[in-house]
Amino acid sequence: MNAPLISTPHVEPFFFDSEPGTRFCLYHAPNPHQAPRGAVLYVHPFAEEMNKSRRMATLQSRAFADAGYAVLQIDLFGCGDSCGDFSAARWELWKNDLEVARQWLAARSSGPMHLWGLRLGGLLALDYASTTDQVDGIILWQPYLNGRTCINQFLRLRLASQMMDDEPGVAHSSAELRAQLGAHRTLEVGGYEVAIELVQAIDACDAANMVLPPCTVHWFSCGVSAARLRANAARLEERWAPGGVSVHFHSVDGAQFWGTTEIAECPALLAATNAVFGPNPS
Amino acid sequence: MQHLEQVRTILGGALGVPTAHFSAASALLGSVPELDSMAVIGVIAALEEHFGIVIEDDDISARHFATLGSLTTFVQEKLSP
Repeated sequence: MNAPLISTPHVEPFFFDSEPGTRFCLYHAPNPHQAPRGAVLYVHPFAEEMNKSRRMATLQSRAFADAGYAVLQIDLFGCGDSCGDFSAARWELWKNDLEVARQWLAARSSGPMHLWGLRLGGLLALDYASTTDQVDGIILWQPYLNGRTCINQFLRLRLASQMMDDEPGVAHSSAELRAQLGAHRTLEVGGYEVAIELVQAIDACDAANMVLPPCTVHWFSCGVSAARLRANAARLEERWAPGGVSVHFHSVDGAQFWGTTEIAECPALLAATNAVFGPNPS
Repeated sequence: MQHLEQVRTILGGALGVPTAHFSAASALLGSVPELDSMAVIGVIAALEEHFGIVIEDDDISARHFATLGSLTTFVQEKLSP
């Protein structure tokens, strides 16, 4: 008796060529028992937040695949298991990686193309989307809408570690760290060496200045601050609506898994995302 | 203590561990192993977002993160300087 196995998730790790070098990817093939729903390209967060988020990214990737989406997770240049040093990473290289990855995914799925960005990955997804007409939907998880905010928080990690270690001030402010970066062209924060070119490119990114192609944006926030974020989402929608962009804001309570010491999950975020994109969307 | 509950909830979200049993006297820095530098930044960002306050670099100081009570007092001062 050869009863078909209950579908086990099919995950394929591989490297592909991008310029320069190779990128590590995980491909989650869509559940063959579901009607094909399209594709999802994951855009990971910045620096250590990427590592903290791996578990949630895997759980949601599996859920998307199970619902019938073809899902690709790519480690951008200089990140994760891809080639390159973090200090050599550049915003434009990352956007190029996304273009190569999107093309790879589009060759395997003829349905709608979604970008799914977490934290700074959300801002990168928006910035990349504004350069192409090949994106139909954007899924944002607790995105940074302004790059400078992200860099300021990143720099503050140095200040926070000094406080933890009770170190007498090596640097007293983010402004001082920015000056050091300006002088040395690179700066090390929490084990990550960033180049001034990358920091400047991220600093310059503001979602409010981006012109998106017509698409649907589902923005999920996770935490206790929904009211203010909802207002931000409404402002962005007002700006983007004339271009045919619709913004749907969803908020859930839960752990800020991208920054917790122990790897955390936020089941409410998975549930809210699956309520929109799952096999039986509400 | 005003806002204690909200600060406690925010702290729990940033730490990823239950904080319901925390009181104003509960020691944070040096006592809660989950409170590392990333969690500190997470707490600060969530406090700024939730209360609409601006926390300066100088405010990243051990005295504010000593206890849940001191952190709440710090937020209160930011709200009504």
